[in-house]
Amino acid sequence: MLALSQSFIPVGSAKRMLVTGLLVACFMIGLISLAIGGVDISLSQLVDILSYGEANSLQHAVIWEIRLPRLLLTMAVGAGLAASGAAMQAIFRNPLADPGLIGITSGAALGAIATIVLGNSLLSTFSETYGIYAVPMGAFLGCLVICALIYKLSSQGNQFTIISLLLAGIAINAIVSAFIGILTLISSDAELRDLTFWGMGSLAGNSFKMITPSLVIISVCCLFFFKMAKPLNIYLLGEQQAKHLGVNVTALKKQAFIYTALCIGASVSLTGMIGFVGFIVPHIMRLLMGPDHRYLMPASILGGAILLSLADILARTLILPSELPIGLITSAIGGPFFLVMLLKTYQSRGF
Amino acid sequence: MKVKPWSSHFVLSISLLCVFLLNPSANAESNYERIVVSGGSITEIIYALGEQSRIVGVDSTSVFPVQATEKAQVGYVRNINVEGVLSLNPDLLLGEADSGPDKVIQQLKNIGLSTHIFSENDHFFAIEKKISKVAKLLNVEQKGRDLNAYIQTDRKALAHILSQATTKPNVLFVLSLKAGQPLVAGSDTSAHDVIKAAGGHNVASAHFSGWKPLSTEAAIAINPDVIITMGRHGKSQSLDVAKIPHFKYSNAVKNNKVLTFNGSYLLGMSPRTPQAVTELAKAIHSGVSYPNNYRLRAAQTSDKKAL
Repeated sequence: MLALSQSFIPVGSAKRMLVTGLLVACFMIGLISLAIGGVDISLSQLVDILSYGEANSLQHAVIWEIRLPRLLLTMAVGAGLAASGAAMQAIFRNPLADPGLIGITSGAALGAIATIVLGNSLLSTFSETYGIYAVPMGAFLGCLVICALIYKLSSQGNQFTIISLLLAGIAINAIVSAFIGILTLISSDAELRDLTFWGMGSLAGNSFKMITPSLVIISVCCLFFFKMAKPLNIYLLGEQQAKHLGVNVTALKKQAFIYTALCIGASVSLTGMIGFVGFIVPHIMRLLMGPDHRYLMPASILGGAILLSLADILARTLILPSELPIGLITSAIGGPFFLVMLLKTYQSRGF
Repeated sequence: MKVKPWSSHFVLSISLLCVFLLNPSANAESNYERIVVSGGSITEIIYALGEQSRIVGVDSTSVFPVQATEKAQVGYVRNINVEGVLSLNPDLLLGEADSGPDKVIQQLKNIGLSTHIFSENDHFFAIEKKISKVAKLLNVEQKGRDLNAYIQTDRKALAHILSQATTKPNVLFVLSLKAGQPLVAGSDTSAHDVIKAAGGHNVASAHFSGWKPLSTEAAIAINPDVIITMGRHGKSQSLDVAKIPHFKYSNAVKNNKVLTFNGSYLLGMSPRTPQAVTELAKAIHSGVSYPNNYRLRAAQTSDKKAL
C-alpha cells in the first residue's frame, strides 16, 4: 500500500467534499461526452433532445441510440474496473494486484476468442443462436468458468489463502494463454483481425438492449464493494488481527473474488480488454484521500467512470471520422499521469 | 366539344404512369449521392465506373486509386466507426461481406441509413457480378456493362495464354516473412483462387487452408517452381525470400522465378485483377505469349514508390 503519513490525509469532511466534487465532475463529463462527437450537436439542441422525448431527427437518434448507451456503458465499465481494482489491491494488500494478475481477465479473453474463432465450426449453433450477443456471452461464460476453476483450486479444505489464489491464478493464466495461442494459430485472416481488435478494447456499437445486463451486474457489484469498505479497512491491519477483531476473513476474501469476477466478466465481455483503469484509479484516489475504503471505494467508482469517459471522448474524436481503440488511450494517458502523481507525492514527502 | 372532366384526368394519369414506367431513372430511391464505402474493391469499382464524386467516405483498405485515400476515412473495414459514418451525412453504406463489427452495422440500420453489405466473399469469377451489382445500386447499369466488356479483353487474353500452356507449375504464395517464417497461402484463400485461375497448382493447398507459417523443412519438401511475393512499403521482398533457407535451394530460386506482385492489384478482386492474373499466367508458364493486340492497360499501383 502507498501509505501516507497522517498529516497528508484530509479529514472526513474534506473527503466527503472530494467525493461530492467527483460526483459533480462525473455529471459534467457525462454532458460533455453527450455533446461531443462526429455528428454536430450543440448544447441547446442536446438539452432539447434530452428533455422532449419525441423527435425523428438524426441528432435525436444519435443521442438516444449511440451516445447515451455508450456513455452509460463507459461509466459503468470504468466504475466496475476501478472498484474491483481497489478491492483486489486491498485483499492482496499489494498495490500491484490487478484482476488480470489472477486470471480473471484471461478467462473472458479465452471465452471471447473461442467464440470468434470457433464461431463457424465447433460453436456454430451457439453463435448462430445468439448472433451479435454470442461474443459477449462467450466472454462472460468463459470468465465465470475460469474463475470457478481458480476459486475451486485455491479453496482447499476450509482455507482460501491469498498465496494459493495467486499461484492458482498465475498457473491458470499461463494455461489459458496457451489455449489462446492455439486458437490464434488456427484462426482465419478475418478472425485474427477481430480478435486483435477485441484485445485493444472498444466501447462502440452497443445498444441499450445489449448493455442492460452488464449495467445491472456492475451496479450490484459496486454496491457490494461499497458495503465491504469497513471490513476491508480492518483487513488492512493484517489477516490475524482482522480475525481477532471479528471479521470473517475467509468469507471476505471469497466475496471480493466473486464480485470482482462478476464485475470484470460483465465489463470485459462487452468492451474487450481495457487496461490500466482498474490499476491506476484506486492509486490516484488513495493519493488524494488516503486508504480509508469508506471514501476510497466511492471515489474509485466515480474516478473510474470519469477517467474512462474522458478517454472515450478522446478515442471517439481524435481521428474523426475513424476511431481509436479505447485500451490504447487509457494506457497511453493513464501511465504518464500516474507517474507524475507518484513523483509529486514523493517530492512533497521529501524522498 | 364537351370533354368530360374524368376522362382528361384519366388520360393525364395514364400518360404519367407510362412516363414513370418507361423511365427507370425516375425511381429516385436508388439515386444515392453520398456513399460511404467499406472495402477496397468496391471503391475501385466505383472509380472505374467514373462515379467517384458520389463517394463521401472510405475505409482504410480503399487504397487504389491514390485519390481514394484522400476521402474521409471511417476506419478499417472490420472496425468501422458509427458516428464517423453518420457525421459524413451519407445516404448509403456500401460494404464488403466482412464489413463490421455486426453490432455497428445493426446500429446504422436502426438509425435508418440504407446499407448494402455484399453477402458473398469475393471470388475471381464473380468480379463481373459484383460490378453489375454496384452499377445497379448506383443506377449506372450501362457503365457497368461497358466496364464488364472492357474486362472481357483480359479474360480472353488469359484464356489465350492458358491454351498455350503445357505444364501446371507448382506455385507458392508468400504473404510476408514475419520473423523469418514465411506466411503462405493454403486453400480457401484469395491467393489460392488466383493461382488456380492463372493455371498454376498451389502446392500449399494440399497441406492446410488459410494463411499459415511454413516451417523450413516443409518448405524444402514442397520445392515450389514459382514463388509469388507481395511488394510492400516500396520494396520488393523477392530478394529476402530467395535468401532464407526455406527457398534457397528451390526450383523457383534456381530458375529465377520469384515474382513480386502488388497485393491489391493481384488479390483485390477488383476490375484490375483479371489483368493481374493474366500477367501472372504469362509469368509462371514458359513459352507463352499474349494475344497480338493485347497490352496491359491498368496501373499496377497507385504509387510508383510502392511496388
